[in-house]
Amino acid sequence: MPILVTVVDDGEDLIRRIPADSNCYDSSHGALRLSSTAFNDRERMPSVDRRRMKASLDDCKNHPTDGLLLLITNEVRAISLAQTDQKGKPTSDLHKIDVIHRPIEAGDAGGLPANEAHSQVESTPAQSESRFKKLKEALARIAAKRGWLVSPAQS
Amino acid sequence: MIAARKIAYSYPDVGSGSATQSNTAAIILRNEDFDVSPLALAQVKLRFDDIKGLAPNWDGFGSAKPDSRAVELAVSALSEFFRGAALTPYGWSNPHVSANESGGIVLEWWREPRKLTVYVTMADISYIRVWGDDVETEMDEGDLTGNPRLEFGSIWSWLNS
Repeated sequence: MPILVTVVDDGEDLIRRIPADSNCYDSSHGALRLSSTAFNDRERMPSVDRRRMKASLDDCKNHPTDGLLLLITNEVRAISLAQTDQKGKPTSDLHKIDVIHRPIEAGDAGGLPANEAHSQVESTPAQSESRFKKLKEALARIAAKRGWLVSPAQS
Repeated sequence: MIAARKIAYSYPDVGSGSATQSNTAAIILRNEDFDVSPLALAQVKLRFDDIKGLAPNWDGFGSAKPDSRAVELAVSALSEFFRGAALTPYGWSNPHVSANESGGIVLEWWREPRKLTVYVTMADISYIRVWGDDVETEMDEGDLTGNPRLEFGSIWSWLNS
């Protein structure tokens, strides 16, 4: 039976998994310094999990040492990102930044593991590379303020 | 007479899995007649070796294997940045080094509330300056493709002022 797709509520917790290899963060200065690369995504639609649809936080990890970051849906939706003209200059029109439930069914064609909670930070219209760089900076700033929900473990 | 001045350098951690280790600080006597950048950047260059060794999908989100040519370009660019920083009153600190989803190299420095991100690809070298949450009014971007040494000196001063 297909997974029911539902609207992500504004108050929902979103979890972003971070590999524990320090490529995406630096904790050596006390406060978490989160790299924008923590939100890398080839399709410019970073993946997150809906916490309420996961049995436990451990269930959000791909590897037991992964760290976990917390975002709140309305924080993501509040990001104000201007569209740009053909010369790359910001216009008065904004991208609509949203969190969309995109569950991954068993037997996914891309080989991804089934994940009922999988969601994506998406933009309408689609972002240019330049805009996506700024979106990643904004997401990293939001997540870093809260620090780790679950710290990465040394493997 | 040798013209020299003391500059404090702080190095971020290098090597995988070492994010909780404390930093090693060093004082290097800067001699205007001698290029100290190889010495000052030795540790961060080890970090570039780690980045070069990352496999495709290294982050589990489908990121490309870092482009080895971009890594070499980033090593060269960093030496120019170091020399650009030396033209300012501010000491040098090595960047956090990573890669983006397309295999470009990402260099990041933090000086709260400011942050500087430099992207190095085979196409260009660009940067984003961040000083707050608002994407449109507290972040801006530019490129370092003209005179990277002088241009970096300017944004290094911004970051540290």
